Amino acid sequence: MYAGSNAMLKTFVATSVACLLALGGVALAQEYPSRPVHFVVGFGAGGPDTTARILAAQLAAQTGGKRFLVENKPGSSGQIGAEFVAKAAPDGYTLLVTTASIASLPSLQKRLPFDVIKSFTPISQIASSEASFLLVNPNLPVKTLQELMAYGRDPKNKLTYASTGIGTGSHLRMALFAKANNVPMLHVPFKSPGEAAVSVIGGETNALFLTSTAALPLIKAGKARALAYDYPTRADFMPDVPTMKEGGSAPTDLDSGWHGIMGPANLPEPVFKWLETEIRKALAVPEIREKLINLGLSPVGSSSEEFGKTLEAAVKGMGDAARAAGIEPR
Amino acid sequence: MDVLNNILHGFSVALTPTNLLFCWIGAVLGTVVGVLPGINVLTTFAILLPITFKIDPTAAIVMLSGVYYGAHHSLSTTSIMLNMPGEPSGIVICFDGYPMARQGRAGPALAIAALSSFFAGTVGVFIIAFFAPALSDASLWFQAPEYTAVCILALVGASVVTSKSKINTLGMAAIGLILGTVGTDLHTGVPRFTFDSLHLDGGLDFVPFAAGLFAFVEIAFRLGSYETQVQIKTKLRDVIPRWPDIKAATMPTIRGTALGAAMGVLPGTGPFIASYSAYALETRVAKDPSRFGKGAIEGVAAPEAANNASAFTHYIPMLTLGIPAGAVFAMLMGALMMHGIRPGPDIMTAHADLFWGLIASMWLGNLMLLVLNLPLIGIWIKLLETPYQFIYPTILLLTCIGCYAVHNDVFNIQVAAFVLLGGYVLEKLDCSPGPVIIAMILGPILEENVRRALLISGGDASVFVRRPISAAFLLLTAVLIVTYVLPAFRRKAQPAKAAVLETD
Repeated sequence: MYAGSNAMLKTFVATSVACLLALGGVALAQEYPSRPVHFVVGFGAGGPDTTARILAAQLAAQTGGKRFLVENKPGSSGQIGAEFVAKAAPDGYTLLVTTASIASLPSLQKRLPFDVIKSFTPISQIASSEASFLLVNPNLPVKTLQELMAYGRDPKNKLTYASTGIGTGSHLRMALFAKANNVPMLHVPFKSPGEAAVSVIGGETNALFLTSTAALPLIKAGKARALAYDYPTRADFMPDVPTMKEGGSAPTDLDSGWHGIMGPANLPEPVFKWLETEIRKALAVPEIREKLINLGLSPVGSSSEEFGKTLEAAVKGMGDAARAAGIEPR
Repeated sequence: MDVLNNILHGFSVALTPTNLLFCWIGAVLGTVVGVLPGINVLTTFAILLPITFKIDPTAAIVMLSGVYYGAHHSLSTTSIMLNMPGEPSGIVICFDGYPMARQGRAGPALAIAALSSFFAGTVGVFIIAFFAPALSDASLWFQAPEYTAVCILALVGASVVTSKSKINTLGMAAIGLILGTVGTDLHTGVPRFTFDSLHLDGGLDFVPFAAGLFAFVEIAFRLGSYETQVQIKTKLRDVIPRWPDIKAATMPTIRGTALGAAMGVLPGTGPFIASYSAYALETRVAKDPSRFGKGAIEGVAAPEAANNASAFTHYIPMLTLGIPAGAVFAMLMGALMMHGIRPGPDIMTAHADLFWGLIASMWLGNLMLLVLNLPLIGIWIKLLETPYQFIYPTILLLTCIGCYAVHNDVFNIQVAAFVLLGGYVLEKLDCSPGPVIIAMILGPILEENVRRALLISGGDASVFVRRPISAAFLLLTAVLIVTYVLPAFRRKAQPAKAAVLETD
């Protein structure tokens, strides 16, 4: 019976699509989506993939059985998935769920097969990522940010910091801090946040910037010492840790990052308006908010226009940071 | 005995009907994931994620864990049956498992694999329950110089996996090392040997190489011979392992478990180095090393035990520090975090139900896997009796799906086709593909750690011998090289005796 009704539904959808095509673009958009919408994620499982799956499940539930499928196209720091969407038909059935790392691509890559601004229609910023703590190994003889800077400036000492790779937030953040405060620090890249964190708590490297949810258990257990919080205000869950400014350093002013959704350039307005509205609705559901917050994300649900501005600001911010860190586009 | 009380409490959590059901679902799914090449643990986690939203966090992690260790448990099946490794650690099982199947001894191979997995799993669970915090502290002693030394030891050990000449083995390992350099360099961000292809930025993937060098080459060779018509007949009495098999596998299982459990605690190694080192160790301690590669039961038992033991001790960094040892554990943590549970040093006390329930469920899941897998052996054996002209298109199709699934892209199928060409030539030239793939996996880890160690030490190479653990591993490597080179000298001195040995 299920298969039967499904077949009927398919016939119904097919005929309605045919009718709507005859009626023209406006009607088509009104009926959007008439077939499964693909959320392409340029990474494997975890991170933006999880966000995409939470959102897809909620959108399917609230739109009465419309289908939203998550498709992973991992590789080359998200470039493969982004290129796939940039070159897809702008019909709203192929969309990209991405992190702010897409904004760093222009400053890292010379031959990017798409333009981060011009090849996409921003739809909505789903959530913003959490801010980072500056952590040091507890055996390092520094208790404050000032002491860290003094320790690093002393030519007898050699400060090293771990990161999750060239051009990632954890790299740029520390490079900006080191440059702004004139502290010589050696960059030691790792492949994952886990390996980088182990390196600092084991004393192999001295310091790193780590996102709040990952840092919290390490700070509480005394495995790492938090010297500063890279955000304009203190974290309410860790009020003893000063902000970068209070600690005596200039804040890095690097965006904490976000998860957003965008489509190919020239997406019809009714389509992205529909998505914008539904996404905002989904992000207002308490359960969804709670899941995202537990993952260290604050739900946003901005408009296409607002997200466009965020995206442009991120491209500029990441570009400035990469130049400050001395990274040349390859 | 606090721990015993906790374990009993854990069983009371794990034995509730819901948790038992989700444990069973996980174990069954894991078995399917381990056998089918097209779907891996991470993909399965991503698909199951929406279900975990709806259930209790303990049930969620019990189920996801079941998928993870279930896949490790059944990983050996395709290696033994079809020479088709689904994960890097499956390669090692191919070395002796597949020859056993060709000799009509697939039954004992599969049964010993299942039994040694169960033993290793039981020990692994025991280690997590009793020693997790101590081991996690000890794992911090391992830094770049130590990882470097372990990789060098393992690479030198690569010489023992083939019965081919030393120059042959070295040549193959060199090809593997070169292949391993493809991709964006971690330390500089410079793309190497990518030929402007975005697909090569992240380096070459393991799956198309395993497919091309093992499954495809095997098919190509069997199609080119009259053997195609020959079916593998397994006599009924050969399905069940006999006493000599069990006796021969006991010590290797214990050694493999110990080695695997130790390696698994280190987040930077992964199960491949564990199972591969266990295999290399067996060839070293065996009275007659020449049996390896030709269907030695020890060559199945030891790596299988190491693989499973390391799968369990891999939980330790997550459960004690809240640091995931790889993408699979990052996903497991994500599933817990969405329920508001953040694994960390306090998980044993703050979420005692979840922690001890998980541990008890792991053991129960292991038992379920044993009960599930032993009867399956009969079915696998029946499948082997299918004429080869029906089996090989199936292998081809499944392997291609597996290659496609890596990035949801045809690129890796094309890579596998190229690898087949190269692998065919190598096989014709009597070169063994084992060292190629071993060097391809170990090379990048070695390079990363050598460079990191030298970067931190400011270019001072003495770090490798100044640190005791790294120095010990390097000394062991030196001993291995000497024992490896010495017989060659002796052979030169006594050509007559060498000639006799050659004919063995």
